[in-house]
Amino acid sequence: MGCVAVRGGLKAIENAERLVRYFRVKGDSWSLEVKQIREQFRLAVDQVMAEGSLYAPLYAAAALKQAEGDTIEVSFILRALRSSLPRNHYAVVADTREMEIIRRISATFKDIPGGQILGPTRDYTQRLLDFSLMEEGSSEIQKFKDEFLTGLGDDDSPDFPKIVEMLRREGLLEEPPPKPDEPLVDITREALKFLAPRSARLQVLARGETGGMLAIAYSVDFLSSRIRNAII
Amino acid sequence: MGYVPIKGGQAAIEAAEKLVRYFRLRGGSAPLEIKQIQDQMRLAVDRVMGEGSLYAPFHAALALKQAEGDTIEASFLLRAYRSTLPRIGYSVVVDTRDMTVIRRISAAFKDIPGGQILGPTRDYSLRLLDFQLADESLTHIREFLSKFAPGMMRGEKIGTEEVPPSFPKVVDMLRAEGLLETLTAGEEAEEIIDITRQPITFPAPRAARLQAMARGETGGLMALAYSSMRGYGNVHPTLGELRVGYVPLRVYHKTRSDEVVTVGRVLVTEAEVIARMDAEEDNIPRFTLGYGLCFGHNEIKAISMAVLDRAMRTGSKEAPAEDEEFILYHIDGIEASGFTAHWKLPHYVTFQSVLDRLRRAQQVARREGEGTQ
Amino acid sequence: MSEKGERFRTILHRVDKGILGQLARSVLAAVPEIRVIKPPQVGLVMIRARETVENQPFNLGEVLVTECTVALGEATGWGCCLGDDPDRAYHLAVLDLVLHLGVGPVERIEAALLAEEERILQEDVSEFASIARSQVQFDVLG
Repeated sequence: MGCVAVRGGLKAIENAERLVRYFRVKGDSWSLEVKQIREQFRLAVDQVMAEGSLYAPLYAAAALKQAEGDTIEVSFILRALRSSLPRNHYAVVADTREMEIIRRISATFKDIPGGQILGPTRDYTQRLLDFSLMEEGSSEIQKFKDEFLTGLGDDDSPDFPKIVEMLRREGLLEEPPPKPDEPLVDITREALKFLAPRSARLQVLARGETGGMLAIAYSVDFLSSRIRNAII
Repeated sequence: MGYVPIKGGQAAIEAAEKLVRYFRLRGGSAPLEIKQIQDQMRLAVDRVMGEGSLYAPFHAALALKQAEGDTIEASFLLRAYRSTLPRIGYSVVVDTRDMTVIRRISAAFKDIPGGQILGPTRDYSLRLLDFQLADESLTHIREFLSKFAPGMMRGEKIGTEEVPPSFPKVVDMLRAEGLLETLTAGEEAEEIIDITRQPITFPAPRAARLQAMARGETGGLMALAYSSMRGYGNVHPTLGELRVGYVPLRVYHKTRSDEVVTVGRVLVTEAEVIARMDAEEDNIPRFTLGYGLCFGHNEIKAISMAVLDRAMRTGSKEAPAEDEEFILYHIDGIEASGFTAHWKLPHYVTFQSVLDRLRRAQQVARREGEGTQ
Repeated sequence: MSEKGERFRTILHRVDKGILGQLARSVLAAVPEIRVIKPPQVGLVMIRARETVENQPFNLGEVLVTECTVALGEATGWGCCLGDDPDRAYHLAVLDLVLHLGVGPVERIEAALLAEEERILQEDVSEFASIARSQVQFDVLG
């Protein structure tokens, strides 16, 4: 590919790195704390953990600081970090039926066992810039939290059976193949081959870049809804 | 596509909004200042300004805080804010030759007039997590600043006294040598289409295509441009020039329209890719070009845009990257996320009728199955 | 005026906020008849750029600005700046007006603006000097 190495340019590269730092800090604002990013940039942290394929909120937050919020760069840093660490264990297979729910909705059924729990969502909020966030003070935040946490019940969390299982029991869903045990592929250890086994496909998607997946999924969504409109 | 609006659930919706706030604040860290985000989350701010199609660094930082760092949500907030504001007018057309450069490289030529200037880049650094950043304080920052740029902190001179030059463009050199496709004889569209005011029609005018990509979502542009680079409509691009810097925002004076007023400086990233040769009518082969320009410092976006621009110019629709309808419809993050999010809204009524139809179809199939036995 | 005016119209957007405020206040003290006819308001300017493939202009995106119009008699002054900054837009409008009409403490304003021009130039020189440190010579390894 006729690439070129940078020789004699070490000084320039060092200066480029210092310029990166200079551009990050030249505004002379209070240095971002990793804890601030971890907590208050929650969704950015979650995105880069997924794309970096490493669940490590503090490191993800530190990397966000390092990369000035560039999620693609952050994921790169996290993947590089991950490749330097030994893998010692595999987890027991997770069963999402055991999830501790913070949000759970269904767009297909209004009444579902366990109920619709909106959780922390902006879905029903008008997208207005909130200028009060310009001066959000600690005492005001404390007051909000105190109010928020008063009068909470201590109900046990109910069971949230899965909707697909209800449909499946009624015979309304395609059945999983009788023998689902094709070998569990790990695409970080073996190259992707096609036709990709289901486990490989899901792993690739789980570490996929959000924006890229959004664009391509949108193309599917749009087409399929047109087709359905035609059928109906 | 019947989904029903939520009725009745007002209390739940209010509780959900409070939960959003609670999740952001429950850890107890010092509340993020907008200036911290604007300064130190520079690249996220730039990305959101580009995708939100509104150059407003402070507001982009505010939106990022509100959206907990979710760039798509933050862009959505900026676009919504933008739609509440009056448009004063159009700028004088920017010529990026006037850019005050902070970074400028060419992958096609080693020696370019003005030189290769790396500027603030991580391209040659190992991607190692810098654990020291966890303990970086304002004291450390000030110490660094006093060493890095002693002059700048105190308004002194640094040593060299070179007035920032303007850099000649690599494509102009190629063009002067006759190595580039010729310009379509200055046929300037009478009216520059503005896709925020009129819907895109296909084939899209060049101005519409570039505007759509300039406000496109970085990840989507990257994925689709990457598909081209990997061979699905490959145009074999080489980066002729990438430059990052400030361009002046100039407008005509409101009451003395013969005067031009400089309003400020806007940071942009520009990429030009040189692509495979095409023979023109005279049978002489020449290079072709793709062009990318976006708000802020966002190199992946500018390069992806340039590659897609060139791929779409192929005129074929064999690969997704060559199909302008496919590209332009799917790269807008706000439209794509809005449509994707609508699946979460109640579709109870439509789904119920689909369910009824499925049950009937199952009954029919079972009856017929019994009949044939 | 026009050549000098052109020069000032390209400096004004970078004049230090404090200095701009002082100058505007000195104008308003000297010419109290200046009135606001359109108070500072946030709005959008669509920025256009010319691409280099076909040399076509296109709409790059909008820029958030604040604008303000003031008047003295029939003459108007207009100020426009980046971001949501009502004071700056107002002060710019005031200076635009008096520089156009040549009334008020014009000499002092011009002197201050020329000093600012020199400061801005030094700032650019310093900034570019820090950037220029990263100029590199790429070598092809053979």
